[in-house]
Amino acid sequence: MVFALAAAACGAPPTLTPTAPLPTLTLPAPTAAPTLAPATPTAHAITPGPTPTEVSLFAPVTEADWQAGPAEALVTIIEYGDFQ
Amino acid sequence: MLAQLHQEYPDDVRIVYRHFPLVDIHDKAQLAAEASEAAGAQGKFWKMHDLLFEQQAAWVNLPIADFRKLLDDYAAQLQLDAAQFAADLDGGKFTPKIQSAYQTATGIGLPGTPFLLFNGVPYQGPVDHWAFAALVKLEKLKSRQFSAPPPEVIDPFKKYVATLHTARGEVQIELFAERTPLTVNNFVFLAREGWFDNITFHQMLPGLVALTGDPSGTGFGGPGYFIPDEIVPEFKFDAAGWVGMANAGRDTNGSQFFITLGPLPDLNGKYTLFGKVVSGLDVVQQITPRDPTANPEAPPGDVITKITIAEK
Repeated sequence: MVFALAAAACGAPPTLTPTAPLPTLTLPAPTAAPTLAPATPTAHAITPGPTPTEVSLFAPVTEADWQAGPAEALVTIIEYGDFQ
Repeated sequence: MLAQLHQEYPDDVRIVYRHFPLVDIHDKAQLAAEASEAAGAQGKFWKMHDLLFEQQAAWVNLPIADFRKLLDDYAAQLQLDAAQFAADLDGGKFTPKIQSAYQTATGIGLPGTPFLLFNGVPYQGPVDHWAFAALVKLEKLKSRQFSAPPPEVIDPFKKYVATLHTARGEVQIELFAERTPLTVNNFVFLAREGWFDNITFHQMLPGLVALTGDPSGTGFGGPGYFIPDEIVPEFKFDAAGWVGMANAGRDTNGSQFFITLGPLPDLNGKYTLFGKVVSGLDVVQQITPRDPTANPEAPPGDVITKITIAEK
């Protein structure tokens, strides 16, 4: 099981999707480097996030949003939810 | 689930809730959303949010009139101003706001609920606490990651012995600097940088392998760069005590490494073998068994307090 930042096809936003377990081994593998390493031996650099165009689909968090946690939090999770 | 994550990481996690009431298929979605807003107007949005989700089974099949009555009970439970709550709800004070939120969400083309954005990126993995806690731990690890592979810090013609310090004792590993210089250079660099301080053996499969080297403890973390494989054909994982680099495919070595606890011929040629346990194999064999891939709620693993390097 490996978390990968897989860029979806057809301009759809990228997704954070765990892939299938390694077929023959139970050794979990390190994730692809979340920060892009500029230097040489990096074999499989992976896009760290959506492009600016894709981000603009979702409005940035403002004071009008219901939120819990500091604005400068390392992680912001936005849920579009339905109570029913 | 997200509330729990926020409680666990109050400084690092912010939770944002936006309404997407699926009004075409859920007859009470609009009213429920408006009720949360009416509670929010009295400073108790999250209380009502939590209550509605916790009690969902109790109201999901009610006729809407009964649900409306139940909302008054919930308002009382939360010690809201009952008259104000009822007036806001029955006067449709928040109807336009929820309708507008619905329009926005459908305008984006959201496929359904819950729809989650993790730092702006749509999340489509399993929605469970373990997965999100792992993502937060990996996010926290980023500040420690390097932007480039390590500089040359070893002399491949010297001898290097790494000592893993654990509560159960020490494990000494001879590093094969001459045959796998890039890998040993990386390992020595990371050890001296303190990368391995206080990390866990996040996976321990007795008789097979003990795996560590990821400060996030998730099994998905790395130092921020990859180094290539260094496969030496005559080095085989044919016994307990060999030390190899974990990877996610060819040339994706980072900082995770494993110690074999028995012959693992399937690993030959796929994983860089760069060292051998020369003392303390019994310490490795006593490590607490743990397999977070099978049991995400596994108890904490054994900790390596530090890895020191002796150069001769």
